[in-house]
Amino acid sequence: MIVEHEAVMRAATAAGLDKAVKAFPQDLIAAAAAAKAFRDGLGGPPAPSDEPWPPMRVAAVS
Amino acid sequence: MTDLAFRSAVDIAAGYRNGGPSPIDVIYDLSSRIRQHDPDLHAMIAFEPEAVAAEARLRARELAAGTDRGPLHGIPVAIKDIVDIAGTPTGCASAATDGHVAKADAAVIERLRAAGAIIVGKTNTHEFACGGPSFDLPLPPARNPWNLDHHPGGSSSGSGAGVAAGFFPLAIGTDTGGSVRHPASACGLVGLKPTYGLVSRRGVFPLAQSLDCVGGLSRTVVDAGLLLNALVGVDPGDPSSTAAPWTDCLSDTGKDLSGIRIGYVRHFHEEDLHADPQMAKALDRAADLLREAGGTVVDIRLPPLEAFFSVNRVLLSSEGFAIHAAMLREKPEAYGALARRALLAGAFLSSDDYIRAQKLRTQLIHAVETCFSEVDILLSASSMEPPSRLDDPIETRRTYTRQARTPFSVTGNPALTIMSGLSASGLPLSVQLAARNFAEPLLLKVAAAYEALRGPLPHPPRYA
Repeated sequence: MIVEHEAVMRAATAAGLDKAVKAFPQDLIAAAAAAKAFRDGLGGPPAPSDEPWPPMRVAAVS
Repeated sequence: MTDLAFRSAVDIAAGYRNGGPSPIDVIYDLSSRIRQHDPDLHAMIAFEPEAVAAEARLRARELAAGTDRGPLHGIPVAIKDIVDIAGTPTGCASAATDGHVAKADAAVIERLRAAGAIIVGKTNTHEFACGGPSFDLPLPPARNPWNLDHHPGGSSSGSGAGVAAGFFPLAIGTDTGGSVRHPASACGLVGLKPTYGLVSRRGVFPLAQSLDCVGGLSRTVVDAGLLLNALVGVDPGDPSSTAAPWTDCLSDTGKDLSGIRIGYVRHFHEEDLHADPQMAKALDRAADLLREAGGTVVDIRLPPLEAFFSVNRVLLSSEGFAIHAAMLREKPEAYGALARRALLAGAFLSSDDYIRAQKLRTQLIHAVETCFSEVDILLSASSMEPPSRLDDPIETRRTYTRQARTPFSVTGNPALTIMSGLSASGLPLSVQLAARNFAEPLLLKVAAAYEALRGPLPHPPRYA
Protein backbone atom coordinates (compact mmCIF):
# COMPACT_ATOMS: atom_id res chain seq x y z
CA MET A 1 0.00 0.00 0.00
CA ILE A 2 1.59 3.26 -1.12
CA VAL A 3 0.81 6.42 0.81
CA GLU A 4 2.42 9.78 0.21
CA HIS A 5 4.97 10.52 2.95
CA GLU A 6 4.56 14.29 3.14
CA ALA A 7 0.77 14.09 3.13
CA VAL A 8 0.85 11.57 5.96
CA MET A 9 3.15 13.79 8.04
CA ARG A 10 0.96 16.83 7.39
CA ALA A 11 -2.16 14.93 8.46
CA ALA A 12 -0.39 13.63 11.57
CA THR A 13 0.79 17.12 12.49
CA ALA A 14 -2.74 18.44 12.01
CA ALA A 15 -3.91 15.71 14.41
CA GLY A 16 -1.45 16.95 17.05
CA LEU A 17 0.91 14.02 16.65
CA ASP A 18 4.09 16.12 16.37
CA LYS A 19 6.05 13.85 18.67
CA ALA A 20 5.14 10.81 16.62
CA VAL A 21 6.10 12.67 13.43
CA LYS A 22 9.57 13.24 14.85
CA ALA A 23 10.11 9.89 16.52
CA PHE A 24 7.99 7.35 14.64
CA PRO A 25 7.45 8.39 11.02
CA GLN A 26 7.46 4.79 9.82
CA ASP A 27 4.68 3.92 12.26
CA LEU A 28 2.63 6.78 10.88
CA ILE A 29 3.19 5.58 7.32
CA ALA A 30 2.11 2.07 8.33
CA ALA A 31 -0.93 3.41 10.18
CA ALA A 32 -1.99 5.57 7.23
CA ALA A 33 -1.63 2.62 4.86
CA ALA A 34 -3.77 0.46 7.16
CA ALA A 35 -6.41 3.19 7.40
CA LYS A 36 -6.53 3.47 3.60
CA ALA A 37 -7.01 -0.30 3.27
CA PHE A 38 -9.81 -0.28 5.85
CA ARG A 39 -11.51 2.68 4.15
CA ASP A 40 -11.25 1.07 0.72
CA GLY A 41 -12.89 -2.07 2.11
CA LEU A 42 -16.04 -0.14 2.96
CA GLY A 43 -16.97 0.21 -0.70
CA GLY A 44 -18.93 3.08 -2.21
CA PRO A 45 -20.82 5.80 -0.36
CA PRO A 46 -24.09 4.73 1.28
CA ALA A 47 -27.48 6.27 0.59
CA PRO A 48 -27.75 9.66 2.35
CA SER A 49 -30.94 8.56 4.09
CA ASP A 50 -29.30 5.55 5.78
CA GLU A 51 -29.26 6.01 9.53
CA PRO A 52 -26.00 5.26 11.35
CA TRP A 53 -25.98 2.47 13.90
CA PRO A 54 -26.81 2.53 16.74
CA PRO A 55 -29.68 4.91 16.06
CA MET A 56 -30.21 7.87 18.35
CA ARG A 57 -33.01 7.23 20.84
CA VAL A 58 -34.39 9.83 23.20
CA ALA A 59 -35.06 8.86 26.77
CA ALA A 60 -38.61 8.69 28.08
CA VAL A 61 -39.64 11.47 30.47
CA SER A 62 -41.67 10.28 33.41
CA MET B 1 1.24 -32.47 44.09
CA THR B 2 -1.98 -34.13 42.89
CA ASP B 3 -2.99 -33.98 39.24
CA LEU B 4 -5.83 -31.50 39.14
CA ALA B 5 -4.56 -29.49 36.22
CA PHE B 6 -7.02 -30.46 33.53
CA ARG B 7 -10.11 -31.04 35.63
CA SER B 8 -13.06 -29.02 34.48
CA ALA B 9 -14.68 -26.45 36.74
CA VAL B 10 -17.67 -28.79 36.98
CA ASP B 11 -15.49 -31.67 38.21
CA ILE B 12 -13.58 -29.48 40.67
CA ALA B 13 -16.86 -28.13 42.05
CA ALA B 14 -18.27 -31.64 42.42
CA GLY B 15 -15.15 -32.66 44.30
CA TYR B 16 -15.62 -29.86 46.81
CA ARG B 17 -19.02 -31.23 47.68
CA ASN B 18 -18.26 -34.96 47.85
CA GLY B 19 -14.98 -35.24 49.70
CA GLY B 20 -12.58 -34.51 46.86
CA PRO B 21 -9.72 -32.01 46.89
CA SER B 22 -10.56 -28.73 48.64
CA PRO B 23 -10.04 -25.23 47.23
CA ILE B 24 -6.76 -25.17 49.18
CA ASP B 25 -5.58 -28.38 47.47
CA VAL B 26 -6.61 -27.13 44.04
CA ILE B 27 -4.87 -23.79 44.43
CA TYR B 28 -1.74 -25.46 45.82
CA ASP B 29 -1.61 -27.74 42.78
CA LEU B 30 -2.29 -25.04 40.22
CA SER B 31 0.11 -22.58 41.85
CA SER B 32 2.86 -25.18 41.59
CA ARG B 33 2.14 -25.56 37.89
CA ILE B 34 2.19 -21.84 37.30
CA ARG B 35 5.51 -21.46 39.14
CA GLN B 36 7.00 -24.37 37.22
CA HIS B 37 5.81 -23.55 33.71
CA ASP B 38 5.06 -19.86 33.43
CA PRO B 39 8.70 -18.76 33.10
CA ASP B 40 8.54 -20.31 29.59
CA LEU B 41 4.87 -19.71 28.78
CA HIS B 42 4.46 -16.07 29.93
CA ALA B 43 0.73 -16.49 30.43
CA MET B 44 0.77 -14.46 33.66
CA ILE B 45 1.42 -10.78 34.17
CA ALA B 46 0.68 -10.83 37.89
CA PHE B 47 0.47 -13.86 40.16
CA GLU B 48 0.75 -13.66 43.95
CA PRO B 49 0.59 -17.20 45.37
CA GLU B 50 0.09 -16.10 48.98
CA ALA B 51 -2.87 -13.87 48.18
CA VAL B 52 -4.43 -16.59 46.04
CA ALA B 53 -3.87 -19.17 48.79
CA ALA B 54 -5.56 -16.86 51.29
CA GLU B 55 -8.55 -16.57 49.00
CA ALA B 56 -8.66 -20.37 48.70
CA ARG B 57 -8.64 -20.74 52.50
CA LEU B 58 -11.53 -18.28 52.74
CA ARG B 59 -13.57 -20.19 50.15
CA ALA B 60 -12.79 -23.50 51.88
CA ARG B 61 -13.90 -22.09 55.25
CA GLU B 62 -17.12 -20.85 53.70
CA LEU B 63 -17.89 -24.27 52.23
CA ALA B 64 -17.07 -25.98 55.53
CA ALA B 65 -19.43 -23.58 57.31
CA GLY B 66 -22.23 -24.39 54.87
CA THR B 67 -22.02 -21.19 52.81
CA ASP B 68 -22.22 -22.42 49.23
CA ARG B 69 -22.10 -19.62 46.68
CA GLY B 70 -22.88 -21.91 43.74
CA PRO B 71 -21.10 -23.66 40.88
CA LEU B 72 -18.12 -21.29 40.79
CA HIS B 73 -17.48 -21.41 44.54
CA GLY B 74 -13.77 -22.05 44.96
CA ILE B 75 -13.14 -22.25 41.21
CA PRO B 76 -9.92 -20.54 40.02
CA VAL B 77 -10.47 -17.86 37.38
CA ALA B 78 -7.70 -15.75 35.82
CA ILE B 79 -8.27 -12.22 34.55
CA LYS B 80 -6.97 -10.43 31.47
CA ASP B 81 -4.81 -7.49 32.46
CA ILE B 82 -7.14 -4.84 31.09
CA VAL B 83 -9.75 -5.65 33.78
CA ASP B 84 -9.65 -3.76 37.09
CA ILE B 85 -9.04 -5.64 40.32
CA ALA B 86 -9.16 -3.23 43.26
CA GLY B 87 -5.74 -2.47 44.73
CA THR B 88 -3.76 -4.05 41.90
CA PRO B 89 -2.27 -2.49 38.77
CA THR B 90 -4.22 -2.65 35.51
CA GLY B 91 -1.18 -2.52 33.30
CA CYS B 92 -2.74 -3.43 29.93
CA ALA B 93 0.71 -4.92 29.18
CA SER B 94 1.91 -1.38 28.53
CA ALA B 95 4.46 1.04 29.87
CA ALA B 96 1.96 3.80 29.01
CA THR B 97 -0.29 2.98 31.98
CA ASP B 98 2.53 4.02 34.33
CA GLY B 99 1.62 1.69 37.20
CA HIS B 100 -2.04 2.71 37.39
CA VAL B 101 -3.64 0.92 40.35
CA ALA B 102 -7.36 0.17 40.16
CA LYS B 103 -9.47 1.77 42.87
CA ALA B 104 -12.40 -0.62 42.48
CA ASP B 105 -13.23 -4.03 41.09
CA ALA B 106 -14.62 -4.23 37.57
CA ALA B 107 -18.22 -5.41 37.37
CA VAL B 108 -17.13 -8.88 36.25
CA ILE B 109 -14.79 -9.17 39.24
CA GLU B 110 -17.62 -8.18 41.58
CA ARG B 111 -19.79 -10.88 40.04
CA LEU B 112 -17.05 -13.51 40.18
CA ARG B 113 -16.36 -12.74 43.84
CA ALA B 114 -20.08 -12.91 44.62
CA ALA B 115 -20.13 -16.32 42.95
CA GLY B 116 -17.24 -17.44 45.18
CA ALA B 117 -14.61 -17.71 42.45
CA ILE B 118 -10.93 -17.48 43.34
CA ILE B 119 -9.21 -14.73 41.37
CA VAL B 120 -5.90 -16.30 40.38
CA GLY B 121 -4.13 -13.29 38.90
CA LYS B 122 -3.69 -11.19 35.80
CA THR B 123 -3.02 -12.73 32.40
CA ASN B 124 -0.92 -11.48 29.53
CA THR B 125 -2.49 -9.55 26.66
CA HIS B 126 -1.56 -7.66 23.55
CA GLU B 127 -0.86 -4.07 24.61
CA PHE B 128 -4.22 -2.41 25.30
CA ALA B 129 -5.82 -5.47 23.66
CA CYS B 130 -4.66 -4.49 20.18
CA GLY B 131 -1.66 -4.74 17.90
CA GLY B 132 -0.20 -8.21 18.20
CA PRO B 133 2.43 -10.27 20.01
CA SER B 134 5.19 -7.77 20.82
CA PHE B 135 8.75 -8.07 22.06
CA ASP B 136 9.14 -4.39 22.96
CA LEU B 137 6.76 -4.32 25.94
CA PRO B 138 7.51 -4.53 29.68
CA LEU B 139 6.95 -8.32 29.47
CA PRO B 140 7.44 -10.80 26.62
CA PRO B 141 4.38 -12.15 24.80
CA ALA B 142 2.59 -15.31 25.88
CA ARG B 143 3.41 -18.48 23.99
CA ASN B 144 1.27 -21.35 22.75
CA PRO B 145 1.23 -24.38 25.09
CA TRP B 146 0.95 -26.73 22.10
CA ASN B 147 4.24 -25.44 20.76
CA LEU B 148 6.11 -22.65 22.48
CA ASP B 149 7.42 -21.38 19.16
CA HIS B 150 3.89 -20.51 18.08
CA HIS B 151 1.44 -17.68 18.73
CA PRO B 152 -1.32 -18.41 21.29
CA GLY B 153 -3.68 -15.98 19.58
CA GLY B 154 -4.77 -12.69 20.95
CA SER B 155 -5.38 -10.33 22.34
CA SER B 156 -6.44 -12.44 25.36
CA SER B 157 -3.27 -14.45 24.83
CA GLY B 158 -2.35 -15.25 28.43
CA SER B 159 -5.91 -16.27 29.26
CA GLY B 160 -5.82 -18.76 26.40
CA ALA B 161 -2.32 -20.04 27.10
CA GLY B 162 -3.01 -20.44 30.83
CA VAL B 163 -6.26 -22.38 30.43
CA ALA B 164 -4.69 -24.64 27.77
CA ALA B 165 -1.65 -25.32 29.98
CA GLY B 166 -3.83 -26.34 32.91
CA PHE B 167 -3.02 -23.31 35.06
CA PHE B 168 -6.72 -22.68 35.72
CA PRO B 169 -9.99 -24.00 34.26
CA LEU B 170 -11.45 -20.60 33.44
CA ALA B 171 -10.22 -17.20 32.36
CA ILE B 172 -11.71 -13.86 31.46
CA GLY B 173 -10.87 -12.26 28.13
CA THR B 174 -12.25 -9.45 26.04
CA ASP B 175 -13.36 -9.53 22.41
CA THR B 176 -13.53 -6.50 20.11
CA GLY B 177 -12.65 -8.18 16.82
CA GLY B 178 -12.21 -11.76 18.00
CA SER B 179 -9.84 -11.49 20.96
CA VAL B 180 -11.51 -14.21 23.04
CA ARG B 181 -12.15 -16.54 20.11
CA HIS B 182 -8.70 -16.19 18.54
CA PRO B 183 -6.76 -17.53 21.55
CA ALA B 184 -9.45 -20.18 22.03
CA SER B 185 -8.90 -21.29 18.43
CA ALA B 186 -5.12 -21.17 18.67
CA CYS B 187 -4.90 -22.94 22.03
CA GLY B 188 -7.60 -25.60 21.52
CA LEU B 189 -10.23 -24.21 23.89
CA VAL B 190 -13.80 -23.03 24.06
CA GLY B 191 -14.03 -19.25 23.70
CA LEU B 192 -17.39 -17.53 24.14
CA LYS B 193 -18.12 -13.96 23.11
CA PRO B 194 -21.56 -13.24 24.49
CA THR B 195 -24.18 -11.02 22.94
CA TYR B 196 -23.05 -7.39 22.95
CA GLY B 197 -24.24 -5.77 26.17
CA LEU B 198 -24.93 -9.00 28.05
CA VAL B 199 -21.86 -8.74 30.30
CA SER B 200 -20.93 -5.40 31.84
CA ARG B 201 -17.69 -3.75 30.78
CA ARG B 202 -17.51 -1.38 33.73
CA GLY B 203 -13.93 -1.37 34.94
CA VAL B 204 -12.51 -2.83 31.73
CA PHE B 205 -10.07 -0.62 29.82
CA PRO B 206 -11.88 0.03 26.53
CA LEU B 207 -10.57 -0.60 23.05
CA ALA B 208 -13.68 0.32 21.02
CA GLN B 209 -16.87 0.69 23.03
CA SER B 210 -19.31 -0.06 20.24
CA LEU B 211 -17.63 -3.46 19.79
CA ASP B 212 -16.12 -4.43 23.16
CA CYS B 213 -17.44 -7.55 24.91
CA VAL B 214 -16.20 -9.44 27.97
CA GLY B 215 -16.08 -13.19 27.42
CA GLY B 216 -14.66 -16.40 28.81
CA LEU B 217 -12.19 -19.12 27.92
CA SER B 218 -12.53 -22.68 29.15
CA ARG B 219 -11.71 -26.25 28.19
CA THR B 220 -15.33 -27.44 28.02
CA VAL B 221 -18.63 -26.05 26.81
CA VAL B 222 -20.39 -26.54 30.14
CA ASP B 223 -17.62 -24.63 31.91
CA ALA B 224 -18.15 -21.79 29.42
CA GLY B 225 -21.82 -21.76 30.40
CA LEU B 226 -21.09 -21.78 34.12
CA LEU B 227 -18.82 -18.79 33.72
CA LEU B 228 -21.32 -16.89 31.60
CA ASN B 229 -24.11 -17.57 34.11
CA ALA B 230 -21.99 -15.88 36.75
CA LEU B 231 -21.11 -12.87 34.59
CA VAL B 232 -24.50 -11.98 33.15
CA GLY B 233 -26.40 -9.10 34.71
CA VAL B 234 -27.64 -5.61 34.07
CA ASP B 235 -25.27 -2.90 35.23
CA PRO B 236 -26.17 0.80 35.17
CA GLY B 237 -22.42 1.46 35.12
CA ASP B 238 -22.21 0.21 31.53
CA PRO B 239 -24.41 2.23 29.14
CA SER B 240 -24.67 -0.76 26.78
CA SER B 241 -25.69 -3.24 29.47
CA THR B 242 -28.78 -5.27 28.62
CA ALA B 243 -30.81 -7.84 30.54
CA ALA B 244 -30.67 -11.46 29.47
CA PRO B 245 -34.04 -13.05 28.74
CA TRP B 246 -32.94 -16.17 30.61
CA THR B 247 -31.48 -17.06 33.99
CA ASP B 248 -29.51 -20.21 33.11
CA CYS B 249 -27.72 -20.56 29.79
CA LEU B 250 -27.20 -24.27 30.53
CA SER B 251 -30.91 -24.98 30.89
CA ASP B 252 -30.86 -27.43 27.97
CA THR B 253 -27.68 -29.27 27.06
CA GLY B 254 -29.43 -32.33 25.66
CA LYS B 255 -27.49 -33.80 22.76
CA ASP B 256 -30.47 -34.19 20.39
CA LEU B 257 -30.46 -31.38 17.84
CA SER B 258 -33.66 -32.45 16.07
CA GLY B 259 -35.54 -29.43 14.79
CA ILE B 260 -32.50 -27.15 14.95
CA ARG B 261 -31.48 -25.57 11.65
CA ILE B 262 -27.80 -24.88 11.15
CA GLY B 263 -26.53 -22.61 8.37
CA TYR B 264 -23.07 -23.55 7.13
CA VAL B 265 -21.25 -20.40 5.97
CA ARG B 266 -18.89 -22.09 3.55
CA HIS B 267 -18.05 -19.05 1.48
CA PHE B 268 -16.09 -17.50 4.36
CA HIS B 269 -13.39 -20.17 4.02
CA GLU B 270 -13.97 -21.43 0.47
CA GLU B 271 -14.44 -18.17 -1.51
CA ASP B 272 -13.80 -15.03 0.55
CA LEU B 273 -10.64 -16.60 1.93
CA HIS B 274 -9.11 -19.99 1.29
CA ALA B 275 -8.56 -21.94 4.46
CA ASP B 276 -5.86 -24.47 5.12
CA PRO B 277 -7.28 -27.81 3.86
CA GLN B 278 -7.06 -29.26 7.37
CA MET B 279 -9.24 -26.45 8.70
CA ALA B 280 -11.72 -26.88 5.83
CA LYS B 281 -11.91 -30.61 6.48
CA ALA B 282 -12.54 -29.98 10.17
CA LEU B 283 -15.45 -27.69 9.25
CA ASP B 284 -17.02 -30.28 6.94
CA ARG B 285 -16.61 -32.86 9.69
CA ALA B 286 -18.34 -30.51 12.15
CA ALA B 287 -21.26 -30.14 9.73
CA ASP B 288 -21.49 -33.94 9.50
CA LEU B 289 -21.47 -34.29 13.30
CA LEU B 290 -24.21 -31.70 13.73
CA ARG B 291 -26.31 -33.65 11.19
CA GLU B 292 -25.54 -36.83 13.10
CA ALA B 293 -26.90 -35.16 16.22
CA GLY B 294 -30.19 -34.56 14.43
CA GLY B 295 -29.66 -31.00 13.20
CA THR B 296 -30.59 -29.87 9.71
CA VAL B 297 -27.49 -28.40 8.08
CA VAL B 298 -27.87 -26.19 5.00
CA ASP B 299 -25.46 -23.91 3.16
CA ILE B 300 -26.17 -20.24 3.71
CA ARG B 301 -24.60 -16.99 2.51
CA LEU B 302 -23.73 -13.87 4.47
CA PRO B 303 -22.13 -10.70 3.06
CA PRO B 304 -18.45 -11.15 2.18
CA LEU B 305 -15.92 -11.29 4.99
CA GLU B 306 -14.12 -8.19 3.72
CA ALA B 307 -17.16 -6.02 4.45
CA PHE B 308 -17.31 -7.21 8.07
CA PHE B 309 -13.54 -6.88 8.47
CA SER B 310 -13.38 -3.35 7.07
CA VAL B 311 -16.27 -2.16 9.24
CA ASN B 312 -14.68 -3.74 12.30
CA ARG B 313 -11.31 -2.15 11.63
CA VAL B 314 -12.65 1.34 10.84
CA LEU B 315 -14.74 1.33 14.03
CA LEU B 316 -11.97 -0.18 16.14
CA SER B 317 -9.31 2.18 14.83
CA SER B 318 -11.49 5.28 15.12
CA GLU B 319 -12.82 4.56 18.59
CA GLY B 320 -9.44 3.28 19.77
CA PHE B 321 -7.69 6.43 18.59
CA ALA B 322 -10.27 8.57 20.35
CA ILE B 323 -9.47 6.76 23.60
CA HIS B 324 -5.69 6.93 23.18
CA ALA B 325 -5.28 10.22 21.31
CA ALA B 326 -4.10 12.26 24.30
CA MET B 327 -1.51 9.65 25.31
CA LEU B 328 -0.35 9.14 21.72
CA ARG B 329 0.20 12.89 21.39
CA GLU B 330 1.96 13.20 24.74
CA LYS B 331 4.08 10.03 24.97
CA PRO B 332 3.98 7.90 21.83
CA GLU B 333 7.24 6.32 22.91
CA ALA B 334 5.47 4.62 25.82
CA TYR B 335 3.67 2.27 23.41
CA GLY B 336 5.08 -0.76 21.69
CA ALA B 337 5.33 -0.46 17.92
CA LEU B 338 2.42 -2.77 17.07
CA ALA B 339 -0.15 -1.09 19.34
CA ARG B 340 1.12 2.35 18.34
CA ARG B 341 0.63 1.56 14.66
CA ALA B 342 -2.78 -0.02 15.23
CA LEU B 343 -4.08 2.90 17.27
CA LEU B 344 -2.57 5.60 15.06
CA ALA B 345 -4.58 4.28 12.11
CA GLY B 346 -7.55 6.09 13.61
CA ALA B 347 -5.80 9.42 13.08
CA PHE B 348 -6.09 8.86 9.32
CA LEU B 349 -9.79 8.03 9.29
CA SER B 350 -12.41 10.76 8.99
CA SER B 351 -15.86 11.27 10.45
CA ASP B 352 -17.14 10.31 7.01
CA ASP B 353 -15.31 6.98 7.22
CA TYR B 354 -16.70 6.31 10.69
CA ILE B 355 -20.29 7.10 9.72
CA ARG B 356 -19.97 5.06 6.52
CA ALA B 357 -18.76 2.13 8.60
CA GLN B 358 -21.71 2.47 10.98
CA LYS B 359 -24.14 2.63 8.06
CA LEU B 360 -22.61 -0.45 6.47
CA ARG B 361 -22.78 -2.08 9.88
CA THR B 362 -26.56 -1.59 9.86
CA GLN B 363 -26.80 -3.39 6.52
CA LEU B 364 -24.61 -6.23 7.78
CA ILE B 365 -26.74 -6.59 10.92
CA HIS B 366 -29.87 -6.79 8.77
CA ALA B 367 -28.25 -9.40 6.53
CA VAL B 368 -27.33 -11.59 9.50
CA GLU B 369 -30.78 -11.10 11.06
CA THR B 370 -32.32 -12.24 7.78
CA CYS B 371 -30.19 -15.39 7.87
CA PHE B 372 -31.38 -16.05 11.39
CA SER B 373 -34.95 -16.09 10.12
CA GLU B 374 -33.95 -19.13 8.06
CA VAL B 375 -31.61 -20.92 10.48
CA ASP B 376 -31.04 -21.06 14.25
CA ILE B 377 -27.25 -21.41 14.33
CA LEU B 378 -24.41 -20.47 11.99
CA LEU B 379 -21.38 -22.72 11.51
CA SER B 380 -18.25 -21.12 10.09
CA ALA B 381 -14.50 -21.00 10.29
CA SER B 382 -12.82 -19.07 13.07
CA SER B 383 -9.14 -19.08 12.01
CA MET B 384 -8.18 -20.03 8.48
CA GLU B 385 -5.07 -21.92 9.54
CA PRO B 386 -3.29 -23.22 12.64
CA PRO B 387 -1.42 -20.60 14.70
CA SER B 388 1.62 -18.94 13.17
CA ARG B 389 5.16 -18.94 14.51
CA LEU B 390 5.88 -16.14 16.95
CA ASP B 391 9.20 -15.40 15.27
CA ASP B 392 7.44 -14.75 11.95
CA PRO B 393 5.79 -11.33 12.37
CA ILE B 394 4.76 -11.11 8.71
CA GLU B 395 2.88 -14.40 8.83
CA THR B 396 1.41 -13.54 12.24
CA ARG B 397 0.18 -10.22 10.88
CA ARG B 398 -1.32 -12.00 7.87
CA THR B 399 -3.31 -14.38 10.07
CA TYR B 400 -4.99 -11.39 11.76
CA THR B 401 -6.77 -10.70 8.49
CA ARG B 402 -7.41 -14.37 7.71
CA GLN B 403 -10.21 -15.12 10.13
CA ALA B 404 -14.00 -15.08 10.33
CA ARG B 405 -14.49 -13.72 13.83
CA THR B 406 -15.14 -10.07 12.99
CA PRO B 407 -18.66 -10.67 11.56
CA PHE B 408 -20.12 -11.33 14.98
CA SER B 409 -18.15 -8.53 16.63
CA VAL B 410 -19.72 -6.17 14.10
CA THR B 411 -23.26 -7.52 14.51
CA GLY B 412 -23.10 -8.19 18.26
CA ASN B 413 -24.31 -11.78 17.97
CA PRO B 414 -23.02 -14.36 20.43
CA ALA B 415 -20.29 -16.57 18.97
CA LEU B 416 -18.28 -19.48 20.26
CA THR B 417 -15.16 -21.18 18.98
CA ILE B 418 -14.30 -24.74 19.90
CA MET B 419 -11.41 -27.07 19.17
CA SER B 420 -12.10 -29.51 16.36
CA GLY B 421 -8.88 -31.49 16.29
CA LEU B 422 -5.16 -31.22 15.70
CA SER B 423 -3.24 -30.40 12.55
CA ALA B 424 -0.53 -32.66 11.19
CA SER B 425 1.97 -30.48 13.05
CA GLY B 426 0.13 -30.94 16.35
CA LEU B 427 -1.51 -27.51 16.52
CA PRO B 428 -5.20 -26.91 17.28
CA LEU B 429 -7.90 -26.66 14.64
CA SER B 430 -11.22 -25.02 15.42
CA VAL B 431 -14.73 -24.17 14.28
CA GLN B 432 -17.07 -21.31 15.13
CA LEU B 433 -20.77 -21.32 16.00
CA ALA B 434 -22.96 -18.22 16.26
CA ALA B 435 -26.55 -17.60 17.28
CA ARG B 436 -29.24 -14.94 17.41
CA ASN B 437 -28.77 -12.22 19.98
CA PHE B 438 -29.35 -13.54 23.51
CA ALA B 439 -29.62 -17.14 22.24
CA GLU B 440 -26.64 -18.29 24.32
CA PRO B 441 -28.63 -21.25 25.73
CA LEU B 442 -29.14 -22.62 22.20
CA LEU B 443 -25.56 -21.81 21.21
CA LEU B 444 -24.23 -23.77 24.17
CA LYS B 445 -26.62 -26.65 23.55
CA VAL B 446 -25.39 -27.05 19.97
CA ALA B 447 -21.77 -26.63 21.03
CA ALA B 448 -22.20 -29.25 23.75
CA ALA B 449 -23.72 -31.68 21.25
CA TYR B 450 -20.80 -31.09 18.89
CA GLU B 451 -18.29 -31.51 21.72
CA ALA B 452 -19.86 -34.82 22.76
CA LEU B 453 -19.83 -36.27 19.24
CA ARG B 454 -16.35 -34.91 18.50
CA GLY B 455 -15.09 -36.77 21.54
CA PRO B 456 -12.26 -35.98 23.94
CA LEU B 457 -9.08 -34.42 22.60
CA PRO B 458 -5.60 -34.48 24.11
CA HIS B 459 -4.06 -31.70 26.18
CA PRO B 460 -0.81 -30.01 25.15
CA PRO B 461 1.80 -32.78 25.57
CA ARG B 462 4.30 -30.56 27.36
CA TYR B 463 1.81 -29.95 30.17
CA ALA B 464 -0.34 -33.12 30.18
